[in-house]
Amino acid sequence: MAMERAQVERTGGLPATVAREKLFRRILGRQPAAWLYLMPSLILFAVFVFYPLFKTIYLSFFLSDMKGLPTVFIGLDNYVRLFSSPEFIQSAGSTLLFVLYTVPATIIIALILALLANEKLKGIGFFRTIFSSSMGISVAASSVVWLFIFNPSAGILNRILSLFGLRGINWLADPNWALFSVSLTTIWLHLGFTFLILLGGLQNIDEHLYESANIEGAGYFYQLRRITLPMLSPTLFFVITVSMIDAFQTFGQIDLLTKGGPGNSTNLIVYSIYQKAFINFDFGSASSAVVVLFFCILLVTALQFKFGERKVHYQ
Amino acid sequence: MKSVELIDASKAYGNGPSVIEKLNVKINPGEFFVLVGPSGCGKSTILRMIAGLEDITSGKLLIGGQPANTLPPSKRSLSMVFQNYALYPHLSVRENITFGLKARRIGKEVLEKRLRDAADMLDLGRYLDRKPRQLSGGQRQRVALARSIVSEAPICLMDEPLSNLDAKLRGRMRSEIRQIQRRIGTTMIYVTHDQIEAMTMGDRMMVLHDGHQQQIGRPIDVYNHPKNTFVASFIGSPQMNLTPVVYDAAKKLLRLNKDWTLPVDLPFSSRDLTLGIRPANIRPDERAGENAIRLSIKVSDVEILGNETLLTFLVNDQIWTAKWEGQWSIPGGTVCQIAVSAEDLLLFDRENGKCIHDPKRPSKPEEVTV
Repeated sequence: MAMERAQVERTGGLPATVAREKLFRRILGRQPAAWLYLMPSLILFAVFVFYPLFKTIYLSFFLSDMKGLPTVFIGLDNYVRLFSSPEFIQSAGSTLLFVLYTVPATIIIALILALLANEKLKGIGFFRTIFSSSMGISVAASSVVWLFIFNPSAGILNRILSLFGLRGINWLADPNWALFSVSLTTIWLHLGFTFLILLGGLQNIDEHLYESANIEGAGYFYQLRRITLPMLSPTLFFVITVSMIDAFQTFGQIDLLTKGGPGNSTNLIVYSIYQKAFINFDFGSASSAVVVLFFCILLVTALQFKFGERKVHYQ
Repeated sequence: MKSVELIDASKAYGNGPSVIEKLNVKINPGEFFVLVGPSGCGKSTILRMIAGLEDITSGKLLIGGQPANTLPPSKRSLSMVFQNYALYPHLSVRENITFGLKARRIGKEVLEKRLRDAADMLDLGRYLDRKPRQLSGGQRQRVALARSIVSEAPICLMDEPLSNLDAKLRGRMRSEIRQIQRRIGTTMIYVTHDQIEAMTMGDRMMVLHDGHQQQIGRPIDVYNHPKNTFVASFIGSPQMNLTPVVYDAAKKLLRLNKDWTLPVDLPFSSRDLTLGIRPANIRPDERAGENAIRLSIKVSDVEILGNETLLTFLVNDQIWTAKWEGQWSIPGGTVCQIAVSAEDLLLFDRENGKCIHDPKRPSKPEEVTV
């Protein structure tokens, strides 16, 4: 304060300008330039994230018309209806199962591939490209490919089963198999990205640690357990968190492979929200489901940070 | 303790040229052996070949007299201290030190005893529960040393272990490492680019240049009797003055240029040579003996380093340095007399750099005793 006053006296600036400057300071803090740098992302976030978020929360307290405009304020009625609807409960259950099917499997398979691809072998670059290639394929394109693979009569999966004399499975139409089939697609789809991130994490580990461990007589699995996994823990933590969020938000492959069927067995939360909003035009109820999903993801992520991060070693 | 022997050991990457060319050396049990050379000369590669972290392209490696070319690193009965220490950042000092012992499933009692002994020896007792990042550079260095001590391996390899420390600490660790090595008696192979470390620490050293071994011997012998111009210029600070000269057998003169001549009697015919003389062997006129050869020079720069003074001057367009004891305040540009004695002059063949005249070299090479 004293310095500010001294400055004002020295420059002898106009009182009005000084007052205005002070107001800016109060609003923008001590470094107005910082806000300028943050502006582009702030605007993007505001338009595409914060505004829709608050609008959704607002909508979830209303009945809405066909255009999605709020009509009657009904308080928490949307939420009450949601939690008493067996469909929503089933959908939440399927989503949890789906997360359990996909996240651990994706990460374990990607980790194994990354460990393999991290070995210094001739031509390993070829395998690195192959293993990460699913990252470059869109959900839509890969879903179509998997439709062919899952095809009960012409698909390669049933062909292979028949080679072993097993009866073909109706992968996408059998309620007992549909969620598994969608999970399989999703694991394959996410493998590339997860692999690439984990490989990057592995390559960041100082080679000397392994050389030293080799000299000290530590075997491969001892090194894996005592060096690689602890050193990779920040990357693993990131990948687990992102995969979880991704899995909760799965939509594309459901829409293309099963459309939530058969018998709602693959009707994951986001797909059910889509149906509520854009097929039944029940925007209020859809919004309340979105809010519930948002808090679920928030809770899971917060729990992960609270309990998972203890085991994470940051350098 | 075990010996390490390299016989015609060479190393090449892929089909490229050899980076290490036909190395022959026997390192005796319990010896402190230093590999020294400028960066990129292949000294670390040699260490890694001994450790088993790099293949040996051709030639033999014997450890304790047994062929070891194909042994995995863990079976070569050695420990290694890396330049960056290679401490596990997520493990405490205690876990870092005992990592190898646990991997080898050494019993808890033995493990605790070795840990205690090493921690006492290196004064690490208070830091056992800290993580490496909570330690200073010198302390990390000690942890790396402790890790190699607890392994009780008969051979210890060190790859520039002091290069990350500041000058003061480096001096202290130098004598500490030397003392520990004496106490536990391991065979030590120590890589450094610092000729002072090589001079002060080693029982013997090998000077390397471009993957070729230049000279092996006791530090003092290498200093006094360099085999070639590379060793002469690499060992010693400030470095040896080297100047092209011509020997005139008829007049018994070494001719530096048309004004400068040194009267010496040499046992060979006229030829092109390189003259080498240590800065400490160039003396002020009045402190030189009767038989000294005197030359007058124009001083271009004077640096007083406390109790000694470095004089720089031009000879044959080449900068020479003289190191005089005491403090000499001579203004730049002064013409003064210097004196050298004929027995301090080393002469090298100008073609291949080999030393062909070394008056002080004993006629029979000294026996190396360790």
